[in-house]
Amino acid sequence: MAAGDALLLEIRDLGVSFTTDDGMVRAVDGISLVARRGCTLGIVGESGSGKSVATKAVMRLLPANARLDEGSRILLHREEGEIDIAALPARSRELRRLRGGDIGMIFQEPMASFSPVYTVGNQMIEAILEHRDHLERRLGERFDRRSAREHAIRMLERVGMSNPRLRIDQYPHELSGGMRQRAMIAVALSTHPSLLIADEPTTALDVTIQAQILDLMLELQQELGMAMLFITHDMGVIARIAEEMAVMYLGRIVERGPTREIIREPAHPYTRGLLAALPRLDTARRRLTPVPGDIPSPLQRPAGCPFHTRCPRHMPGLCDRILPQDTDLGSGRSVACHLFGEAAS
Amino acid sequence: MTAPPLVEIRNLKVYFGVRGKRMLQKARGYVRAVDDVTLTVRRGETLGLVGESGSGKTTLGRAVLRALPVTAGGIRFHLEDGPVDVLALSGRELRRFRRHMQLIFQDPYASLDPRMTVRDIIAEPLEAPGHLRSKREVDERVREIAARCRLNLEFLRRFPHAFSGGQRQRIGIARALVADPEFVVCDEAVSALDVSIQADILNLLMDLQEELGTTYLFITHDLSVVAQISDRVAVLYLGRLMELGPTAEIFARPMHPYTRALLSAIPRVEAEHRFAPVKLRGEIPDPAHPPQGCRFSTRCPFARERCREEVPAFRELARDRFAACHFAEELAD
Amino acid sequence: MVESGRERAAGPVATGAHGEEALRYYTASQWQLVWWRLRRHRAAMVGASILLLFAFLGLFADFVAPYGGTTRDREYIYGPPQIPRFWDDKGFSFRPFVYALKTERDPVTLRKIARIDTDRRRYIYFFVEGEPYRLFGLIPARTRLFGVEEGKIHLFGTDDLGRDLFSRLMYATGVSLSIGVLGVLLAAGLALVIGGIAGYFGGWIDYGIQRLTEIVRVVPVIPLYMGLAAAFPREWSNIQVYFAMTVILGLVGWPTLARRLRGHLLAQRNEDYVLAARLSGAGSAWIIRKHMLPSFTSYIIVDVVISFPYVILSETALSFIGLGLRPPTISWGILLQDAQNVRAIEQAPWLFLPALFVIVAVLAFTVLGDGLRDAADPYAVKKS
Repeated sequence: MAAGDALLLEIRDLGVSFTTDDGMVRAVDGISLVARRGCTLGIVGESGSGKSVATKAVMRLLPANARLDEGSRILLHREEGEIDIAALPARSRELRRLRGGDIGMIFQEPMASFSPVYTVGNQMIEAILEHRDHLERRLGERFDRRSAREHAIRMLERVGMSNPRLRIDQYPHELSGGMRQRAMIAVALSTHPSLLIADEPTTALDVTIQAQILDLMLELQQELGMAMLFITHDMGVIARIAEEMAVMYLGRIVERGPTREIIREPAHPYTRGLLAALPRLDTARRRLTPVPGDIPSPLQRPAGCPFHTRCPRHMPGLCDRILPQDTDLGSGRSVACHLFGEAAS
Repeated sequence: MTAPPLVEIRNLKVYFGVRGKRMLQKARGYVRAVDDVTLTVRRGETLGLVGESGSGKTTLGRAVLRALPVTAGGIRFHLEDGPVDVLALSGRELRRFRRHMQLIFQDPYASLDPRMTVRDIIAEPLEAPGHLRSKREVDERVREIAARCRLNLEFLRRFPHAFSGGQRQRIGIARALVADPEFVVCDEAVSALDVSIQADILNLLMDLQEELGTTYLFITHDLSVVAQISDRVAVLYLGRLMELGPTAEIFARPMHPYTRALLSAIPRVEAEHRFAPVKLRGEIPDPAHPPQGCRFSTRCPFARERCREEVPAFRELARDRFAACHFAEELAD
Repeated sequence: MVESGRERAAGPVATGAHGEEALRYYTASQWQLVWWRLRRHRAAMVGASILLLFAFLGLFADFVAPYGGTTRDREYIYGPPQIPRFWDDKGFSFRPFVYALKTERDPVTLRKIARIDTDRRRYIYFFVEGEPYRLFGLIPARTRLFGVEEGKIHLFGTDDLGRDLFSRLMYATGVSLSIGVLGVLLAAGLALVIGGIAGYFGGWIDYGIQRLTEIVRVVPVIPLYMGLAAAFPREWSNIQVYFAMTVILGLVGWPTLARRLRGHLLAQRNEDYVLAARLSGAGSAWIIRKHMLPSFTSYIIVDVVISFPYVILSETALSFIGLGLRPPTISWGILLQDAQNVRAIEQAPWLFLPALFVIVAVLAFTVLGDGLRDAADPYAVKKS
């Protein structure tokens, strides 16, 4: 992957807190990430890791009781210049144009992103017309209602929908789960976004359908050259789709780097634990190595390293007091763990 | 040497009526959720039952436990004191028989009554059937099984809301095992848990099996979990058995094209498969309108004329290995 | 496993509690959890306090009211409310007082008019001997909460016959609330039986009962009330009319409740833990006793509290249009009857005070019902 000019999304010190009845929940605790054009960044984490919240923050789709940190920066490097999404006013026109325009989104539950009272085609055409300025810049073509419909049909065909001319006039509930997921991808990609955010898009699908959707997403990404932010709890899916990955735990990124290398040789004890706990196909009836303990409540974030309560290599007096900073391991890898930091020596 | 059979399922059929559109109209058609499944679960083994949505795996598990009405077929339990025809049991007999079989649920939240203490939840299979047992005896048994499930005995007087998903699942397991059943159906028992917790529960299930000699029917959509825990695997597709055999052999050399496709589809972190991967096109058909002939014929890349016309027999292809495919021998190489 | 919407409040997650406090939370039963959550609902607590006060006033109406419900003060007809004071131009007094009255004739109409005599103070004493009464209709007593030594005190003024509105309002509160309670209990009882049968057995029985409740629900309420009320024989005693009213309110109120109960039951029947009980060899009796009823009671309470205002409003409305209770029984509706004519609005706006009581009571019930609904299912999925 060449150079910083491919840089598309830069997240710096993103922090998100929720005010709830039971107190303050720190869902995302100062994370920094970059996504490059034509590249997929996978974010993997379990419940409470904040992976979904972080990506919702990128689209500014957080609920009303959420607050972004003062110093959070979400920089989108567009051809027309750079823009800080974190600084845009909540209901601004610009934000609306970004969502579904420069940034496409797909979710776990496709029914949630379709309105049940309009046909698939109707919703796609609306989206295309809403973002016609953006599309004109990308494709050099200005769409009207008729050409938008043709474009929508082309997209449905492209995502592997059989009989797109029939499908476009169907309602979302008339499609099967896999088809809906395809339709949602078609909607997201119909505006040729430069960044696609996919939040557990295959989690609700059967394995054979998941395989089809993952293949499709890989193909389309290469074709359109967009950057992809892929959120999942499934290491296997990450291994299949993402060149680079970041592992999140309780709102922090504990390890990041090229996917293959992290899976071959995980550095952070949490990543190691996750991989060791994963059941594998090649060894029958082997005892697994679980990560001890439970994921702590987000209301009671442990002091110091968030993982120290479950870490087999926890160093008393250090890990429970001092938050480890990112340590560069070379070749694009870094880890936030005292075992690797200067403090350890 | 194979273990003696514990549960024999013969030509089991579970059909659900599809309601007509008009009010009060009689059933218009049937979903053949489980269609002619014959399967033997051996004493002390873990039989993995895998399938995608619409495969009927959950229905099969519940039918065996008599949680659903069975349309046709037979279910026989081979207990120490002779075989029992489970479908012939009714009322009080059935309720008394239930201590031989139990279910572990997928959702650790919905399956525990939030208004009961952990002690009462675990004790339910002992107390509910109305066997005459002293409270002391029940308490003792509950403590014993809780300890085996690595539950802190302090937890017994707490309510479920005090616990995380993993701990709740332990409570569910303790409840299932408290009456010492021979046969336990685990219905996606670890699917709702995070990976780091899931491993713990799988280990617990394996340990308990070793200690208590329980037989598991382990239902899941997750093949890697099946690989981990089961001795044999049965693969279901649209209500029919596609393949059955020892886990290691099936995973190394699947005989049915569907099993091959399923295995190829799993996203994995480890090395690639030893067999040529099979990619599937198309969607899973609607179980209310399954394809003629072989149920898998609409998606099978190797399907021929015969597959669309004739239902393939479920036959033994090698020692202890069964598959329902006309061309299994040809395709295996 | 999957974050979106599936994260649930479990254990310490919900409170962030430590040590002792955490243990208390872990071992808390359903009712404790409900109470803790309700306590945090400030509006509901205010509503509950108001209702408690009303219940007290209604229950001890004879004690709180200075005079009997039909006692007339001929000296003070259409008299405005007398507001207790602590001081006037003659100085300050620790004991609150009202002014005495003197009667004059209107020079034009020659009608008697009560005039306030600011020269004479009437001090208010507490726990005074007053007209005799029977507490709860049983215990003979004379002690009243407050009174004045000479003459009379009318905190809320008097009506066209010189009856003390404050006293009458106390009695009315008791009657209206009790009629509400009985009506709602009757409706809840019917709903429990009918909805319970429908929800538990399902199938044909359910279908039949559903259609029946629909029929009852679509009957227009006012004509039905009118028909039923008109059927009361004139010679019925007040007690008979009173109970007939509760029966009518109950009969009209049950379908809504029954429908909701049936819904809860159907949802409950499909809960995993009910299946678990069945697979453990439990019979119907065990499942109903151990699982259905406990989860149910909280819903029943909520439904009952929420349906209260409707019953009270129905009673008030019926009595207001003269179809419900009849004088000399006193209820909110009957008091408002007095405020029907134009002269009342013009000359004696305080006759509308009962309406204020109705509004406050209905609001209090609604707010409390809201709070209870939020608190009633402490195990509900929490969306974060």
